[in-house]
Amino acid sequence: MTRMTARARRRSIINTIFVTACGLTAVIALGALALIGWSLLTKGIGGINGDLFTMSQPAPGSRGGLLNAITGSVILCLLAMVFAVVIGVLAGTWLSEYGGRTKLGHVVRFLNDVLLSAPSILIGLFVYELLVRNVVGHFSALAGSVALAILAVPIVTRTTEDILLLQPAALREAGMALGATRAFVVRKIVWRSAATGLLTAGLLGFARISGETAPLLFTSLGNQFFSVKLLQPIASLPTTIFQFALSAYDDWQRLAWAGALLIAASVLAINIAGRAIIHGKSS
Amino acid sequence: MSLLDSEAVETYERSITAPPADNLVLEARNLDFFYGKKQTLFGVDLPVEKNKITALIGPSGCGKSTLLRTLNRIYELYPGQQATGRIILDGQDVLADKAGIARLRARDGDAVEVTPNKMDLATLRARVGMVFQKPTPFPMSIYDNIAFGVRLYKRIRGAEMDEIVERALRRAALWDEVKDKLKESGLGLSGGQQQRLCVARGLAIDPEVLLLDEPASALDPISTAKLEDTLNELVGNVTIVIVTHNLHQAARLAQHTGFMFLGRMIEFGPTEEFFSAPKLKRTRDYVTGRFG
Amino acid sequence: MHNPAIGGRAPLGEDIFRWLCLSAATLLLAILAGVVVSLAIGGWPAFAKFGLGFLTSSTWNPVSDIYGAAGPIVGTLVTSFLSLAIALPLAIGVAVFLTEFAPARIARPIAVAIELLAGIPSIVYGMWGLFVFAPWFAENVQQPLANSVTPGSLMDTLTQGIPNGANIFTASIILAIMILPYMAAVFRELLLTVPAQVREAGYGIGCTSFEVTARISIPYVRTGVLGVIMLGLGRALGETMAVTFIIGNAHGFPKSLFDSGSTIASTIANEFAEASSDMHSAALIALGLVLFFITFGVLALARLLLARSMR
Repeated sequence: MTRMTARARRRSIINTIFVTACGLTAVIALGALALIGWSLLTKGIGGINGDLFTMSQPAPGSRGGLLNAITGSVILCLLAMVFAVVIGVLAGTWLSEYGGRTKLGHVVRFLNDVLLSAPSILIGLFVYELLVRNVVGHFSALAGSVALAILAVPIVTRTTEDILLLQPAALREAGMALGATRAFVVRKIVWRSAATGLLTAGLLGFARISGETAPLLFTSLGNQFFSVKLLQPIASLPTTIFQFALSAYDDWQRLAWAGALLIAASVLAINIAGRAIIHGKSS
Repeated sequence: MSLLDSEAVETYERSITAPPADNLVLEARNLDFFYGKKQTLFGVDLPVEKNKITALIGPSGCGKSTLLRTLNRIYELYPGQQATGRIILDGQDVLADKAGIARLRARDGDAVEVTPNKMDLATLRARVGMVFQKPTPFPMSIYDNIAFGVRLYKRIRGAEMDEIVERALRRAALWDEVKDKLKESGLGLSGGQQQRLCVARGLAIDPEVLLLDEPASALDPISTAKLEDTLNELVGNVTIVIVTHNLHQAARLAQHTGFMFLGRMIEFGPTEEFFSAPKLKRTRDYVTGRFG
Repeated sequence: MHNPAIGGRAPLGEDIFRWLCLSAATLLLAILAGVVVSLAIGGWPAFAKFGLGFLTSSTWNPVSDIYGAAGPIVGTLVTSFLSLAIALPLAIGVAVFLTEFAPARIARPIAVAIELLAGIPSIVYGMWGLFVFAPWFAENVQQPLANSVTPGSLMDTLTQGIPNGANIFTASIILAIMILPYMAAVFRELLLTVPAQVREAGYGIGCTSFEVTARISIPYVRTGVLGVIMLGLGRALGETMAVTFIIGNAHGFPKSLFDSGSTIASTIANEFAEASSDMHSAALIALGLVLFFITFGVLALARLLLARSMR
C-alpha cells in the first residue's frame, strides 16, 4: 500500500475542505431561497381567496382584494410587450440580417446592453419627464407601459438577434435563390422558422417586467379604484404591494403578502411554460 | 514534380472540349473570383450544354462550389465577394452591370466588347435555380414550399396552382410519397424526401438551368439513388449543373464533366472520354484516385 | 413569368422593411440618449447650485433645501460591493457543486430551480427582508452583539446602530440573496462549456477536484466569469425594491455596518413622488444621473476587460 507523502495529504485535505465548502454553499443558497419561498407561501396563502380576485383594494379594515391591481398589471404588461416586441424584433432583425457587423451595429449592441442593465428607476424618471410632466400632464397607465416597454426592448432585441443568428444561412440562401428579396425572405421564412423562440422571448420578457416596481412609481403611480383608462393612473400589483407592505395596517400587509405570492407564482408559471415550449419544440 | 505542386498550376495545361456553341445555354468565360483580396477562381471557362447534365469535380477547396455560386450570383449576399469575367445566359451577360463592366475593363482593357445588361438579380435567379447541400425546406406545408417560388412571379390560386405543384412534385419523383399530405409541414419529411422537395421547389418556377451543390452528400445511399434517378429523368427537359465530390456519381449522371483544381478548370469534356481516356496527366491522377 | 412587382420581389418593399428595422435599432440609441439628456437637464439645477460639492457633501436637508449626495453614493457602493462579496463565493460554490460533485439526478432539478428563482421579482425579496429577516437579525444578531461587545473596540464601532435590523449590512445580505440565483445559473452554464476532455486531462494527471476546478475549469471560463461579476454588480447597483425596504433610509454617512443608510435608488424611490421643492426634485434627478454614470462605468469597464482578455 502506498503511503501518502505530506504533500499529497495536504492536497487531499484542501480538496476535502473544498468539496465540503461547495456543498455547504449549495445548502446555504438553497436554504435561503427555500426560507424565502416558505415565508411567501405561509404568509401569502392566507390571503388567497375569492375576494382577492373579485374585489378592488379596500380601505383599511374592510373587505377587499387586488382586482384593480391585477387588472392594472395585466394591462400595463400587455401594452408594454406590444411596444417592446414590435421595436425589439425589428431592431434584433436589423442586427442579425442587415447591419450587425458594421460599426453602427457594434455600437447598437453595446448600448443595448447598457440599456439592458440600466437601473429601472432611472427609466422611470426619464418617462416621468417625457410623458408625465409633458405630453400627458399627469400620471397615466400609458406612461407606465412605456416605462416597462423601455425595460423590455433590450431583452427582446438581444434574444431576437441570438435566435435569428441560429437560423441556418442556407435557409436564407434557398429563399433568395428563388428570386425573393431579402426582406421577403426574412419575413416569410426566417421569422417563421424562429417563431417559437421569439414567442418564448416575448413570454419571458412579460414575466420579467410583471414584477418591476420602480419604473411604475412615478409613471402609472397607482389607483385605489378599478380602472382601465390608459390616460389615467392605474394600479399595479407591485406598486400596491409596496404601498401596503409599508403601511401600518395588518390587513393591508396580509394583502401585500398575497400579492407577492401571486406575482412569484405567475412569474414561475410563465417561466416554466416558456421552458416547456422550447423543450417541446426540440423533441 | 509533386502532384500538388502549386507553382506548376500557374502554367498548367488545360484542355476544354466544349459542346457545340449553338447548344450552350450558359457559359462562363475567363471568370475570376475574389473573397476580399484572396483570389479563388482563375480564368475559369465553363460551357454548359442545354438540357444535359454537366458535372464539376475536383478535390476539396478546388473552387467548384464557388464556381457554381457565381452562376446565380448568390455570393452577392455576402459583402466582399466579387466575380470578374463573363457569364453568358442565353446571349445576355449576367455579370454585366456597371460595377462588373468596370472590373472587366480594368482587367482586360477598355477595348473589350460587352453590352450592359439590366437583368435584375431576381430575374436571374428565376432562370437559374439552385439546390443546396443541406436540404432546406421552408417552415411551411409541402404545398406552400412549392408554391412559394411560384407566387413570387405569378398570381395564381386554386386549381391552377394545384396543377403546378403536382407537376413539380412529379418531376422530382416525390408526388406519390406526399400527395396525401400536402398540407403537412415540409420539415416532417425524411432527409432524402426533403432534398427532392427542394428540387421540386426549384423546378416549379421553370428555370432554364438548375444548379445542384453536392445535393446527395447529406443523404443515405438509398435516398441518393432516388435523387439520381430523378435527375436522370430530367435530362432532355432541364439543364443541370451538379457539383459532386463523388466521381462515380459524376460518371453515372453527367454527359459532360469538368475537373477543377486550385481554382482552375483543368479539363472539360464529354464524360465518357473523361473517365476512360482523360487528356491530361493531372486529371488522370485524380480520377484514378492518386490524389483527392 | 417575370413581373418584378409581384409577391416578394418588390425592391421598394425591401427598402421600406430595411429602413423600419434600422429605425427600430436607432430608436434604442435615441432612448438611451434621451435618458441621459433628461437626467442631465433635470438634475442641472442641483449641480449648478452645489457644484461638485454635491458629490461629497453628506447633508441632505429638504427643510433648508440643501442636498449632498455622499450618503446615498456611499450607501450604493458599499451595499453593492458587499453583496457581491457575499454572493460571489456562494454562486461559484453552488455552480461548482452542481457541475462537479452533485450526481446528475439531483443536479438537474436543482439547476432548473435556481434558474426559475432567478426570475423572482425583487419586491418579494424586499418584503421578506422587511418582515422576516430584519426582525430576526435584530433579535438574534444585533441585540446579543450589542450586549456582549466591548465598548470602544473595533467590533463595537462596526456594529453600532439601532437594533431594528434595517441597516446597510442586512440590505447587503438581501441584495446578495437576490443576485445569487442569476450568478449561480450563469456560472453553471459557463462551467458546462469546459470540454470534458480538458477536465479529464486534469484528473488524468492526478489532480484533485479542487485543483481541476481552480486551476483548469475556472481559468478556462475566466472571461465569462468576469462578465458575470460585472453584470451582477450592475444589477446590485441599480436595485431598488430589495433594498428600500430594509436599508433604513437615513441620509447621512453610515457610521458602521449596522447603521441605517440609503442608496441612490432607494432615496429616489422614497422621496421623488413627494418632493418638497423644485430643488429637491432636481437633487433627486441629479442623484439619478450619478447612478447612471456609475453603472455605465462598470459596464464599460467590464466590456473593456473582456475585450482585452480575449486577445
